[in-house]
Amino acid sequence: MSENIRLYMEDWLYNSGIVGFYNILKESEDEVTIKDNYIEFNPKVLENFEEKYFNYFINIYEETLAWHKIVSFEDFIKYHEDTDLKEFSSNSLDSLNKYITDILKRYIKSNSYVAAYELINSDVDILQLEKDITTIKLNKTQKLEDVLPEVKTTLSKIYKVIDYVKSDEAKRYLAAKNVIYNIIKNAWEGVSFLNRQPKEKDIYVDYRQYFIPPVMEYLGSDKKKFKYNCFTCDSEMKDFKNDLSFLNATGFDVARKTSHVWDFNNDVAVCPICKLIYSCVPAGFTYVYDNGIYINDNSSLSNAIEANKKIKSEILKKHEVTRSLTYRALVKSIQEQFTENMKYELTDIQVVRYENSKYRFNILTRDILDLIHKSKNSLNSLISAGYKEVNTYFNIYDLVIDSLFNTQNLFLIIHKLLIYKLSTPNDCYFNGLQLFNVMNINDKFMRGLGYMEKIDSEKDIVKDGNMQGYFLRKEYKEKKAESKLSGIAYRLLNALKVNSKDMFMDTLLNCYLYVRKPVPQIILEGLKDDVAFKTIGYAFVSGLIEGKENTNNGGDSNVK
Amino acid sequence: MRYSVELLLENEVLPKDKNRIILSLLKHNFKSYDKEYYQELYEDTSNKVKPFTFSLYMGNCKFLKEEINIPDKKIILNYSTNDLRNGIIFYNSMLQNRGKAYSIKNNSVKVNKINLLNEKTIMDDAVVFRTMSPISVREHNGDNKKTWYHTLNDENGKEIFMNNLTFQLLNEFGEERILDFREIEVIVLGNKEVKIKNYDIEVLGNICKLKIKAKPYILYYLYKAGIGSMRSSGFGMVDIV
Ligand SMILES: [Zn+2]
Repeated sequence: MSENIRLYMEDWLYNSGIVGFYNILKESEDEVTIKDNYIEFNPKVLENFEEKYFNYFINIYEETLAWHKIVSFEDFIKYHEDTDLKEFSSNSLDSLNKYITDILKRYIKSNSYVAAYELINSDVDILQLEKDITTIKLNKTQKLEDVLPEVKTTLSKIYKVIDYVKSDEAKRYLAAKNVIYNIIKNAWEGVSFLNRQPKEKDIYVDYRQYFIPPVMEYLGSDKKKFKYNCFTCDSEMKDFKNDLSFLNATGFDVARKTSHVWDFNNDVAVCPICKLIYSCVPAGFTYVYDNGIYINDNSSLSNAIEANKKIKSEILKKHEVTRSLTYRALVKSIQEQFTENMKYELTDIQVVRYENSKYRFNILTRDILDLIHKSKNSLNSLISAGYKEVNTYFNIYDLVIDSLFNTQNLFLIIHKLLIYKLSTPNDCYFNGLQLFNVMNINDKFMRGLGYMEKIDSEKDIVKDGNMQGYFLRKEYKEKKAESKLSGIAYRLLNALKVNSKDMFMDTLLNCYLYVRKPVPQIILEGLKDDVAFKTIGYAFVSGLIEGKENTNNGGDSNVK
Repeated sequence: MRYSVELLLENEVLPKDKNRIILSLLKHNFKSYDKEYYQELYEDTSNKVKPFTFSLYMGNCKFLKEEINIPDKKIILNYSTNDLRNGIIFYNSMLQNRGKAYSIKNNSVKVNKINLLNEKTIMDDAVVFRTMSPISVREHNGDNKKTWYHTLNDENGKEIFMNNLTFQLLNEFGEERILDFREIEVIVLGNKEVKIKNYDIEVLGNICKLKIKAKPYILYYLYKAGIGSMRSSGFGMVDIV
């Protein structure tokens, strides 16, 4: 029918929209072509686009949705019906009651669901069903067996609810409602089905009516007469009707801005195609709760799609219990990209994070990416390493990655870990090797930044420093003076913290005088360079306190 | 860094040119521990300023015509440096040669105990220093032949001392701190001239107390590195009173 449409890559926001648009079409197996820096498709893919749009989000985020929480209880019911409640314990009763209050009643009665019921073509009065279901409490004289008949009827009532919620028709609306408020709302608001007073109750119809007809009309019109140009793609357009105020936190959401910004943004308007693409931004991002992430890989459209696909599958791994938007998934996808495709050109990558209703940007330089690649094993060894601080568990892997991505060295982390190892060893869930790996990564990082040029790069100063610390410890052990080591380690750490070579050397010299041994060469090496001094100093202290009695020595990860 | 090292003598007699002997012991030890460092210090550049100073304590000794009689057969070498690397290499080299006899004229010397001394802290911008080894105020005049050693008892000597001090500090800290050096005030609190045998000639030295007013970093440096000329040959080591 009509000509193909080409959309070229622009800024990160638009690109995330293109990637999202591509994801949606791909999920519905539509035909779409990607070239180096553009996407090409025929307008016929826009038929039923509203279905494709919601389908994508529902499929990708299904396991995270309230809808899924309601229906996944089916297994529980089936199991206990099949076993005729023989396995039904008081724990099972607790689970049942918890489900009824925290999931079933909570979601079925929620405003967004209630608004959807009238659209669902069904005879079931779901709210009546919900009302009939109550939790089951044992009174003092009752035993579990006494309430089993009641359990049985309750289970069958719940089954009816699930049966309804599970139906294609109900899923279509209820899961879509979840998707709107959990996912889409992070990227845009205020128009179409996210208008505060929507005129159209059917969210599918609403999406189509708002976004699609303007595109069709635009495609059919004679653009030669148009006087204006689209802010994003620069193609001709008729008027300034389509502004970008529906996009959250982008500076275009004029309604919330002061008047001078309004004036400024008066020029910002886009063509209907671009507006449609912007509505796909949430499909380009990956969200966990209110946080989102998008890798703005500008090197090519296929790289952008690939990078974000990897991170999405990493973050939204099926059946993963804890989902969090740390950089972990990002690192894994970077590392995979390396091994999978060595041709992959390493360039700086911009990471866009959506946090606390704001977009934040990090540039991952190729040096950092390279470091992450080269330190793969050291990094992976840290995944289970952590420590507890005032009842909060901190994962060392995450801290290290966060620092590196912000181009901050790891001395602060290393210092902290050593202090904890000394003061509260029972809150430390890392071993000497893991600490050693953190120091190694930092050494590579600092060298990558151009520090320690005077130090022979072949020389493993972390290892040497660590060894010498360990040897000194042995000397103290022989003199039965191990108890002095904690105090010494504290003094050394303090000297490192305030960057005082004098204080450090003074303490160290006293130690070596005490054991009547020469000060090792590696310590002299540290005097040549400030960064080498810290690197060697921390490595030394870690060797000195290694093996300090610790009840949970090693990578115990069960404490999260 | 400040050390005191106990040196044991084989017999009681020590030549009067004692600084020369100690210097040769230091050189020997540096060389045997780290040849490159020795070269850096003594061979690579002529007249390199060495970052240390020392003084000797010989207990109940008698100064005879050509030699010194030390009945205890013991010398305490006090050593101070403003350079961490030097301080550590000094310690390592002394430790390495500990207990080994080093031959000197009609005698031999052995390193025995090595102690690290606590350095005093400086809280004020004025300090009274006491000399542990005499301060040398040396004046070179153009051609190397004419060298005078001055006393701090006269104005001329004091002026040369101040010039030398500024030069010493410039060499250590550079031009950009020159304003700090100009502010320095020195008061000589009693001075005794002494004659010291140094490499076959007699040189004049000053045993005194000096009140020096200066920025603390300067006072620290002087405390550690010593004051005046020929510091690394056993002149100008000071203590804080
Ligand atoms: Zn456009």
